[in-house]
Amino acid sequence: MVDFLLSPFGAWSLLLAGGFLFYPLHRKTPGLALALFWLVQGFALAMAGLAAWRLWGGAEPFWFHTAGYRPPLSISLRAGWPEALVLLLVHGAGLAVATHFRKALAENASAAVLFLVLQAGAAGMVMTQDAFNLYVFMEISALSTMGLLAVQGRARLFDALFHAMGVEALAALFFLLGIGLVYHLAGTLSLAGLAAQAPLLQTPTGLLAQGFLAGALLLELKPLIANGPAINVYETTSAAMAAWLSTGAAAAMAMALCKLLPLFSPAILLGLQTAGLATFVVGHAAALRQSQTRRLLGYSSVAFLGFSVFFLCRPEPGLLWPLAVLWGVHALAKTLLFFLTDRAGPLTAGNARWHKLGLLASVLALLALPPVPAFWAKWDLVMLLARTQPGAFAILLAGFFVEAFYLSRWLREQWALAEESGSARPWPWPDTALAAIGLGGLGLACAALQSAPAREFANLALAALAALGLLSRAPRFAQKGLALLGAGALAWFAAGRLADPLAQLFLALFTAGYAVAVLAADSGPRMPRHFHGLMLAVFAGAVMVVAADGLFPFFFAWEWLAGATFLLIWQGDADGRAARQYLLFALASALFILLGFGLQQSLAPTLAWTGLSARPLVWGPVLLGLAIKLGLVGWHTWMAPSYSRAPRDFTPFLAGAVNKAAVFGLLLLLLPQLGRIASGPLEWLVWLGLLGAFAGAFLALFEENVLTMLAYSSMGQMAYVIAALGLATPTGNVAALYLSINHFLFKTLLFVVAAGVVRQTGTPLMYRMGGLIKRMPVSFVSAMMAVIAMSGVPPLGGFGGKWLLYMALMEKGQPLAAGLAFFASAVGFLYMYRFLQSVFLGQLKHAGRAVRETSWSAIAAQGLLIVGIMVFSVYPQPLLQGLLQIAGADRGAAFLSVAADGRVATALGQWQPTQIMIVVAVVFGVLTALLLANRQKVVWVRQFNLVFAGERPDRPETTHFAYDMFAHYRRALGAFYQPFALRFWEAAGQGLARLGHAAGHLQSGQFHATLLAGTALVVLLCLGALR
Amino acid sequence: MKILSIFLNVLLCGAYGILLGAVYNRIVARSQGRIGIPLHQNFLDLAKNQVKRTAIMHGIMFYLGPVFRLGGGVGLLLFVPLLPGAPGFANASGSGDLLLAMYFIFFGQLGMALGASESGHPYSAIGIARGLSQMTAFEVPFALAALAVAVQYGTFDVAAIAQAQQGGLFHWTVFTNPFATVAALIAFLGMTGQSPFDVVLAPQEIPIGPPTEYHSAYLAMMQLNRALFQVAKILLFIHLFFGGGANLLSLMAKVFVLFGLPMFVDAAFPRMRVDQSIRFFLRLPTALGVAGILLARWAH
Repeated sequence: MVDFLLSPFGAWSLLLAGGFLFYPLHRKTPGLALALFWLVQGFALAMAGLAAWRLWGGAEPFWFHTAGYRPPLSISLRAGWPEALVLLLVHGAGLAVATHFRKALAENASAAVLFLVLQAGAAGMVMTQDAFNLYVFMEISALSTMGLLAVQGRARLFDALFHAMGVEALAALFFLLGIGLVYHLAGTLSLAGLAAQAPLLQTPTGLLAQGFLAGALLLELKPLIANGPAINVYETTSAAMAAWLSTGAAAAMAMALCKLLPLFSPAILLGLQTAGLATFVVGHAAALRQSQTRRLLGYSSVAFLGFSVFFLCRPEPGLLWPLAVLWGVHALAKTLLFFLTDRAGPLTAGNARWHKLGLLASVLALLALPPVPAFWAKWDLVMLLARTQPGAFAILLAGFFVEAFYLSRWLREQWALAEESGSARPWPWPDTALAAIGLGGLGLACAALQSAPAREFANLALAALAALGLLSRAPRFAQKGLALLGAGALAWFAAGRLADPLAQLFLALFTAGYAVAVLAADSGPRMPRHFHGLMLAVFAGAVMVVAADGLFPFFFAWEWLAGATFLLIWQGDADGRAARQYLLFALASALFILLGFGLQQSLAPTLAWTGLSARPLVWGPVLLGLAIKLGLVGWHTWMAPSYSRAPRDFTPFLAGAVNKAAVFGLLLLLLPQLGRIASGPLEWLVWLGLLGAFAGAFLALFEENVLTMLAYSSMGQMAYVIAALGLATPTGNVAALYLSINHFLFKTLLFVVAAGVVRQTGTPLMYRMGGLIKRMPVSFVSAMMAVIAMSGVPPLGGFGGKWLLYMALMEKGQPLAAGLAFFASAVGFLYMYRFLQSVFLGQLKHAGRAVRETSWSAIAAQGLLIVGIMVFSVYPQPLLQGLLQIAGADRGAAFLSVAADGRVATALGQWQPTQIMIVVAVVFGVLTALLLANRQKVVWVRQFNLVFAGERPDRPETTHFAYDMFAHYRRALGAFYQPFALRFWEAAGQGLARLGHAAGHLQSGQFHATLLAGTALVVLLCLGALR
Repeated sequence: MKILSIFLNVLLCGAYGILLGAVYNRIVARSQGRIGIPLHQNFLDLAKNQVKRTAIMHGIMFYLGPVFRLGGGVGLLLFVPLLPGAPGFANASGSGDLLLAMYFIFFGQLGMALGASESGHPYSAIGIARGLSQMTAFEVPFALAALAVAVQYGTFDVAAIAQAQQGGLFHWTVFTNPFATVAALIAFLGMTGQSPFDVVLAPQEIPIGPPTEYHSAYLAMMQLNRALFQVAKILLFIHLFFGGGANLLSLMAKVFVLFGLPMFVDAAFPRMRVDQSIRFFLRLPTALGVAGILLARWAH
């Protein structure tokens, strides 16, 4: 008896008993009745947990036979692993929903009774082992749900409810028909008995019965074209009921489907899978155009149900855990979102913070970004699918992207609403805390369950999250030091474990970039609150990228890096537009990488970079995914908004170091493939790269915003790296590495200077500056050094990068490409001159007189970078030798070599960096000395001591030549200066929206259309089975 | 010894460049019915500017602008061998190859641009913007021509390219790859800054252009650079397209001819706007450069 009571069956009995007892008890003692209600709810959840715990400990599945007999004389209930997990979800969701619903439940006894019965019905559906009993519980659940919806008394809801009841009745009709036929054939309705007599169900009558049963369950699971009424219910009901429909009710119904799956023929299973996949894709597509939160979340839930149906109907083993985890995350995140958006009126500032955190956590969980456990689950499922059905796998990935598209848009809108904080309003902490605690707990549990490398990464990610929380609360003066300390420890730890020189090189680059950016960062109150914590998270992501020893850890690190970068960009981006743009492109990048990894699994399962196939079908998507993060032309549109809207002190790290993670990834991909990949397919990458260099240079040329200009400059410079890698030669790889290191040095320096300038002047527009050399001389020198290093003008290191690139291009027989590179490089010279002229030279504005040099810490950071540039320029030979080793260019008849006398040579030419530096220094020194010899004659003049056009100017604004400086270039080549990529992506976005509109039409809420569609679905399933 | 030879080479090229400037001034004057300046006039101007009493100063960068400019000219001269194969005339050409010379051309331009910009004079900045824009355009055919030569001879080594053209007149690149040579020569016209590409300095609208605020010792440095830089560039062209210099005399003769080429074009063509010259350089000369590369690949 005690065993029975302390089991899910006991809880189920109590729920039923509670339902019967509540009303009479409530009439006499309402408080006691309510106490009973909560007790029973809590008890049900506890028993589900206890059952799961005992099963985890090795216990056998629990059975309960009614009336003491075994089937077919009685109905039995079962609680094994799947049932225990679904019960946990059903009762957990029930408790959360009841908590949110608490006022209504306290005021309306009918609602409480219906809720208890609803829980009992759902639990019965989960545990029953009898087909007719399943029908009974389905009806109990459906009726109590309808009752609960009806007691809310909303006119629009009644309308939606009536339509939903129609679908429900149709499903019930088909289910009963199916049961009748099955009983006619098998003489039993026990599921075990039916499974034993499965051959009888393969007759035409049996197949028809299967079609009816499968069709009925499919209708209950809100499939494509028959889910319009369900969406209308989502829209019109309360948040609590919407959450229940999306989680508990859906989980119980999915479990009902699972019970009957062993009876279904392959044709029926295929039909269900097809319907599931179509529902997943079209559901997400329909959500694209939704402006109403409930409908959007409703479509999202429907799509998730389709996803579940698709996987539940697959024959592969090992699907239980990933699906359970996904369901858990879905339930927690959706519940939280339904609750959080159940708001009227503004939030207080304090509430808004928690509100936004809840929104963010839920959306990131739905997007399955690590360390949310759904990440592991999605990886397992998609890899499994990729091995068997690559086509469906690709469709699934497209669906994931569409989901990210509308969820990120919606998040931005909700965020903006939350920002409008004002009057005080209580925040429903019990609801959200419940879900948040569950989410965190599930994350920890999953993190602990992973294989060794992934667990390390998960732990690191969780530690980074903890550090984020701690750093945000630390005093501002201590944040910088603590952040540097934390990063130093992480780098030290990672360095000790990395043996690969390539990984060591990039670890050094990331560490240096992080340290310089943090050193240069502002410490004042204007700094975003979570800046240092998120910087550390981004750094941790970069470290994980270099430490990843396989495809899965790399993908984990890649996704983590994307998530952390997105959050940090949002810190500086008030309306979140740029951050969302970044997120979408970052997710597109991740999905392409996943596509490549998945297609590899379909050829030969491997999780090692070296095992990747040399077929373009595999490396092509991976390469594209990685190149997106480098701003590959056409995919570059995220760069300018992200770099210019991110916190200014983050951009040096982002542009200088973080984007090199993609270079590292490309080298991981391409180095093992040297000589294996046919050069033909890669040749387009060279041209795309150089086209990007050209486009980036032109975009920068006409840009007035200094941060945007530098962003386009980054696009152009990284395009050289892409081109060099596309050559797929050791020399090309050396050039790519060299260019990357040089880019790190000068671009970090430029962004540090730009951050200081923008901070001091209060504007990013260059034409509003001018003459700042007088106020910020150190920054000017730094900028000039960076510009020379970037332009490729000898004697600084930039020339080496260009020289290596030309050599690599010529080695590969690409002189025309070299010509294009030269042109792009020359245009780069133009915009960098413009940067110096517009910002530092020319006329000092009146407002500029109050400007002071940037902070000492920023100057120190600039100094460190200049030292780096000089060392790199004067004596790059040891580094080059290391790069030759990494790129495999030191073996065999190498084209490129570093001689003992310091000469860097190829069969085509040579370059002596140290000697060039000496020559230039001597010439410059002698000439300066000559000029200095006449120094006594120098007379300093005042600012406006000049004459032009017969006038003596008195206002710097009329004299500073800066705005649209290269207008003649626009006149000459304006036809090429069109925002082709922007227009393309805008059109793509509009196309997606139209697709959403069309998908919405497919899922009409019209009564007759839905009934017809539902009937058609069942008929199709039956025909499919019979054929 | 090496330093001494380099010094003498620079001195020789500077003096020859200044002298050629005067010679061509006289030729132009004669063609216009004037007598023209005496041959030593440019030397006198240089000395006069160098010893002027005062020099205004707008700031450190302004001060260093001419140093950068002349440094660029001298540096280019040093990185290009005077007589390929003759050790005493190799200068510091062992430091790099053709790519070094092509990129070092930017060194002086950048320094000058920064220096002139610090003066705050809008005409300086306007001139620089024009000059740099035009430069990026004419560098394209020049770069393509240089790449064609590199493809043709299989090296970027300037001395080796010059050596490869020995053996007869028709071994010169001008005959073996006329497309590349014509593209480079048109680019050369742009480099000299004479009509039809003289809107940068705009000599008729004094004062305008980068040197607007420069005078006295600064101007002297820039005058010296003009002579040196011109000779250095011509040397490069001779080595790439006109068979190099077998000896000093033939080299000086070739320099003389090439120095005069822009004069004739200057007399015949009106000035282009910057956008026109950009379009011009990126059309026919660039197409010729591409043709030069294709020819080089096809033939070699």
